[in-house]
Amino acid sequence: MRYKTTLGGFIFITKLMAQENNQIDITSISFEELLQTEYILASDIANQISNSSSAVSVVTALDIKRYGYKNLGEILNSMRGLHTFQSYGYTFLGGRGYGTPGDYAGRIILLIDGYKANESFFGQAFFEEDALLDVSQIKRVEYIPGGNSSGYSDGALLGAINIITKSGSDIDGTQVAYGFGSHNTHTKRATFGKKLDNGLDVLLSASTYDTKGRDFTYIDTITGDEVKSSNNNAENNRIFLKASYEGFSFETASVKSQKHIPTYPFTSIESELPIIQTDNNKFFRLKYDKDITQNTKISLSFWQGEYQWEDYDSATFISWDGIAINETKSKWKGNDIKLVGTWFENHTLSLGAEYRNDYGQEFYSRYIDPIDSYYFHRIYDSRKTYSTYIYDNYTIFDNLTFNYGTRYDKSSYGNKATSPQIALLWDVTEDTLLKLSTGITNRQTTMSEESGKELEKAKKNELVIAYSIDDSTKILTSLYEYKISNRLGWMELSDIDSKGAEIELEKSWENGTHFRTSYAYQKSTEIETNSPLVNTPNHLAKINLSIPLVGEKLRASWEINYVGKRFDNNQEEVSSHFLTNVNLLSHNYLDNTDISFKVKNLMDKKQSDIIGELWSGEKTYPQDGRTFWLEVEYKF
Amino acid sequence: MKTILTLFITIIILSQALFAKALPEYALKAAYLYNFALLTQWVENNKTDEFNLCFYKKDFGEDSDSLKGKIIHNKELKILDISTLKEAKQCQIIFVRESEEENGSELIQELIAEQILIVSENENINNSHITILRDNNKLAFTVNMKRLKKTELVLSSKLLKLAKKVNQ
Repeated sequence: MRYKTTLGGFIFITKLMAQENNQIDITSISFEELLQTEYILASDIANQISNSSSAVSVVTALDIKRYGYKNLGEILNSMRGLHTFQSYGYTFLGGRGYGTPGDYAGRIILLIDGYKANESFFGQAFFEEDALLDVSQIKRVEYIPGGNSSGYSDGALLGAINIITKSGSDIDGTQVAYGFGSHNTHTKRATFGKKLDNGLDVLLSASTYDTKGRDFTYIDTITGDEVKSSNNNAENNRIFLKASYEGFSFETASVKSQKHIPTYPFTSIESELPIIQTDNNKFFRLKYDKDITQNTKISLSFWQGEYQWEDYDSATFISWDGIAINETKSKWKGNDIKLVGTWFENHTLSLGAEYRNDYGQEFYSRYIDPIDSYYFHRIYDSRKTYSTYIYDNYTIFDNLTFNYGTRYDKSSYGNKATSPQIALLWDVTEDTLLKLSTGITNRQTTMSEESGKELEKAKKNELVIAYSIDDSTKILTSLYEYKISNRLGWMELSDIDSKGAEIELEKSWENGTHFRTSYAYQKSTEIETNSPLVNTPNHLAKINLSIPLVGEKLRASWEINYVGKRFDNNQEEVSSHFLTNVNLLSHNYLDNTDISFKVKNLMDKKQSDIIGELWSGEKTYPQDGRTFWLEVEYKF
Repeated sequence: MKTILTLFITIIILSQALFAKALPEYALKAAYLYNFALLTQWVENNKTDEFNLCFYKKDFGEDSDSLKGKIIHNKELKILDISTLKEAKQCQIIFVRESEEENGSELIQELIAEQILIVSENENINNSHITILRDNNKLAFTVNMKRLKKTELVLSSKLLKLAKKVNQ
């Protein structure tokens, strides 16, 4: 038998060798041989994350439509073990035992089609209306917890969020959308997408957003009076362009977002004038993918990005008779090469090299009134980072795969880091998959953090069990532990020990009903003080249920997010909360028209998020009560 | 940098000698579809003059072209790209890519009782009969008998035997 297989294999290989690329007659291969044939990845190799050895969660465009998610933060908030929290200026992301408020450099990186989208000054990723993409351009969002994603980019300390964008053929026409909702909020969008007969695929989308914002009430720290601030409007403009032709693809995104922030968090001085915060963020990337031989695929890309933050502050320095502007500028560019090869039987090798230059980094504060003068100006040395990595996926037996490799980063700031990862994937039975992984991941400082220190390091161990009860019911469980050392920030921080357990159940019915629920337990302790880490709830739970009411013409979707109690910067307890959102989606009830009506915080619960230490006086940020959102999309 | 480049080139050259059994993903998937066609019986076999292997929105290009003109159940195989219900009804097999999941599942919903074998890349696509999955370095497929019973399609025992999993 063994002899026969070897002989069959030999004949097959000879057949392959005899025939040049793609010239082989695939119908001449027996089905049994096909089952033993390895495949060479067809799709964009840099985007291949789903096969990762960790407990991946996915939200698709369908879910985004059904639940009426309006921004990336809402999408992430529905995923197992993640929670977003808002402050006056931005939305932040916490997960896997981490959630330091006001910490721009998240420990989970954001990728857009494989491109690292965190800006390089603060290392921030944007999740609200300041995000690079409008959610209508998103095809799927993958959350890959754990450092196994470190191969894809530097700094994925606790995981990566990978966004796969739509292409022109997904849109296949023109869409116009208009939305309005609470706080006098409006959005407008036009999207065109098509795959032309000559093979060129194009997507172009432009959108705007504006809101009057909600009113804030606060106690003036000096006079003790209650003050109302209603000057909280915000707006944005976004453009996204994506084009691909044969192996070439180009994509670019740009967002300009402006937000008025009530002045009181910064100062005790009462002022009617808000801080005006502007974020300008953009990037482009050119990529080329090619199969150079039957078993070698290459991917080359070049990218460049720019971010500018400006803070027009008319109140803080009023006692000094000045109006001040704080500003940061940062630019980055780089290129990478990646090879994926099935050169050796049972092995898929990925090799890559990357160069990144963070340059044009500066921070300044200056008066513009009464005289234009700098009182602080710092220009940072540009930082060049060289990285290489090699990963091998070795299929030992049909049901056992060994995944191992390492990434090496070296920067012109003098830092060197090796991030090894090992994982074992075992199909225990037809229905049960076990993944065991361990690894070390590193993160460089951002410009805004204290530089010159050791790299931040996370050591991780994780056990994942995926079990399919039947075709439509799946259970995923994960047990993990992390140790984070050399924490980077604006000051010296203690090492952290984190432990967690997660479970997720997903079930779908033939009539289109879909149900998903998850629970995550996490416990993070600062080793030096043995105190719980700020803003890290022990319990997070989610329930998502979507039911077709009148076929796909009318669908109701319901979600509950639970965030357990957690501690603020003074180690005072902030109470837990349940949030209920409901969305009704009418799909093609009127020809070519989708109408979505969403009520957020249906029960009108009062709840607050913890904010960073930077804000004087306030420890928490009160969240919205019940709000509604109506959106109409027309396709032609 | 130079060392890495040398390493890359060496591996590529070496690779030509150490050829592993591998095919591009979609050439392999096309071969799977060809075998599904051979190993399935269509009770009503006179719907069309040709055997229509259909792809929702986009076919595999060169990888599926090689199947053109092959004879399946005494009919010449034709490749069609479809997107409407009317076009879909002319098909013996419809393949839906994972990337077309959103729009594709809507169309399939309308075809539950038709004599059409639905093949997809994602088990979550409602009402697909066969799913081709990535299984480590190789491909595998699962069969959903519950959904197949709604049609009059008959899958050969060989096909069921080679399936990684048959959901009853």
